[in-house]
Amino acid sequence: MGAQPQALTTQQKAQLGLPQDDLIFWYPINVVLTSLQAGAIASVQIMNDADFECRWIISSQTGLWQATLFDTLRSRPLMPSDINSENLAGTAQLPFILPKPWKLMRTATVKGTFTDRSVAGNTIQLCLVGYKLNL
Amino acid sequence: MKPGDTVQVQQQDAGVHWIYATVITANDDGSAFVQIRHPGNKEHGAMIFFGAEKIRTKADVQKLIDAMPAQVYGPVLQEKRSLQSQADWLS
Repeated sequence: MGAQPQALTTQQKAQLGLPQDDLIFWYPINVVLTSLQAGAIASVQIMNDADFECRWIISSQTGLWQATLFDTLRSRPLMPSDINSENLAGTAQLPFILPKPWKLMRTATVKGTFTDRSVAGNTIQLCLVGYKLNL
Repeated sequence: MKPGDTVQVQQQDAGVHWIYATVITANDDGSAFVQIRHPGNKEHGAMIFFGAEKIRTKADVQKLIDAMPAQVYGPVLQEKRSLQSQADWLS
């Protein structure tokens, strides 16, 4: 009797240069603020089909803002107070790379409270970018 | 409007936004050559020509505020406060 064939792990596939099952994915948090509006809440939920590994954080915005993010699945804030946008996210061209990827379980929700600093209307899109795992 | 004034210019992307700019040269017809001064914005630092319809001054914003009722509530109150804070920033 021969050995049973085993499915390759994602890491083995990557080493062999074979197509991987992870799917690059963007989870956006969209929020629109009026001038100096404080504490606007916006969130995004990880889809139910796969866990998500966040690798980069990027944003586009009309002007400056600050936010506090919460990982609601684990019921914990990711920062003790508001963090300025310049210190929180990069751009698609020059992203903030998480040295240790941030794993979010399926159905987890990331919530943010946003405050405008531009003294003008502000349309913000904060994206958590990474991979849906083992789809 | 004169050189050195802080005004707002209209930017259209995901929506219509009024962002801050400093007047470099102003024309009689209300148009102006400005430098965008709006940190965090993709056009911050750019020098651009705008027609009169896409520029608003402190007086223009004040007119918008004055056109609102004295007593406002809810989203309109938020909008009025937003405009007031922007008027305070203009010169």
